[in-house]
Amino acid sequence: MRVDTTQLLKGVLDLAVLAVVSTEDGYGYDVVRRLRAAGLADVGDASVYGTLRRLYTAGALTSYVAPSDEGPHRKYYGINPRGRALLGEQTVTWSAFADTMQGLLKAAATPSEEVTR
Amino acid sequence: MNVPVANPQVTAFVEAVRAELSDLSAEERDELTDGLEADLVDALSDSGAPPEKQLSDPVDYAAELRSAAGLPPRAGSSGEERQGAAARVQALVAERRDAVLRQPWWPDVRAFLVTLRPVWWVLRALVAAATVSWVFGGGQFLLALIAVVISVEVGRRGLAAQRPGWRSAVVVANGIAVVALLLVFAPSPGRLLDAGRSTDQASGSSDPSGDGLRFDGDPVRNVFPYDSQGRPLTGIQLFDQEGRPLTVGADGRLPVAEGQELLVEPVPAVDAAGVQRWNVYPLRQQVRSVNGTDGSDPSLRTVPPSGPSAVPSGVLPPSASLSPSPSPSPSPSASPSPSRSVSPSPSASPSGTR
Repeated sequence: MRVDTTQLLKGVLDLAVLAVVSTEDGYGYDVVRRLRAAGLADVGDASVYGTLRRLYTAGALTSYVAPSDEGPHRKYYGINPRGRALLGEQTVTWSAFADTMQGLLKAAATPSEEVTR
Repeated sequence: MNVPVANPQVTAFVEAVRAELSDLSAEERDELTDGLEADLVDALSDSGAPPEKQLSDPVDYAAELRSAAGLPPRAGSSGEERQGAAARVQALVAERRDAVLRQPWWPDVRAFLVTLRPVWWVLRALVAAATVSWVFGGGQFLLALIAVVISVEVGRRGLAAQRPGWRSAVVVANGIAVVALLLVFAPSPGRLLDAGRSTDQASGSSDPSGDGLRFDGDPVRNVFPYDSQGRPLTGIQLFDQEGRPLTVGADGRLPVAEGQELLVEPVPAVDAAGVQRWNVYPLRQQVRSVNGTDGSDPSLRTVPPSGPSAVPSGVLPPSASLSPSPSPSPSPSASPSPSRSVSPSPSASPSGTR
């Protein structure tokens, strides 16, 4: 299996989107831009829009439309209490998972020391 | 915050994406694409990449949207679904093929098969010729010759690879040839040769395959000839009006009696050349036990022909004056090959005798 950031993103996109929206309401492309600025350069915009829509359907986000007289309107998403709860749960899960991975990789990176000890 | 400006390219792209989502409910579709136009306008102005590149594939874009939104892939009778299934099958086939191509033995196997290609060219031609002559009858050898020349030339010149029209035709023809081969060889390996059964009619040798002699619809298992004095005859060869040997069928093998584990089976005569002859009567018969429960080998014994006990003596053969038939008996040599001229012909018997 090929492990790249695209694969990893699939598992944590919910969490990343929740985290971005929790700091400030944002419309679709705004969320994409903030994720990319944070370092997730490979994130696909359609994936983010789909995730926003799914979180909204799940009741974790609110949404409202900012009308525009001249062009297409923007649809903003904001976090709600349910979303914050979800963010908290997933943060714990992610932290435990990341710690486990860190431990694994640290052990793998120093095998010779283990043997000599 | 700047206000997004409508962009006709973006508008068209969003319409295309919405069309890809047409199987969803209007509500779901609206939720997925609401604000999408503004997002795309922003994305375009941000990236600086030409819109043609960013907005190239609404199908992929819609698929990514649905998958991220947790919606099922486009379902139903849409072309996209079928393409998806076909692509998956194609990918699977390609994967298997690549796995074979990577094997170390593949180059040798391939070279071997390439060497055998002319054999296939000839084989398919023979199948085609046999099929045609089986259906329409007629000159087998000439047909086979023509078919072989055509087939080998098509293969040798690589016509299938050169002209796109030929390729599918050759593929179809090859497929038909393979199916025909399977059909011919699956039931019995001898059927292909049976296509030209007229050629071996005159031979006295024949298997007891097929239906064989019948009397009132029942299979005849043996024939017991007697001469005009009522004496049993042996070694009598029988032929029909076409000179074909008259043989009992394969179902001459029957249980001795109902419920018994013994079979009576006919034993063919064997001529000097070692060829089995099933048209020499009376056939010897042997009884064989079906299961060797007693541990012994299948017991073989000759059964005396259960012919008529009261022989009609003094039967007169049709008198010569009434029956100007040609001399009907095939030569008593070990290997008779009666031609049609010496065969007894029913047309020669007078119609007034009955």
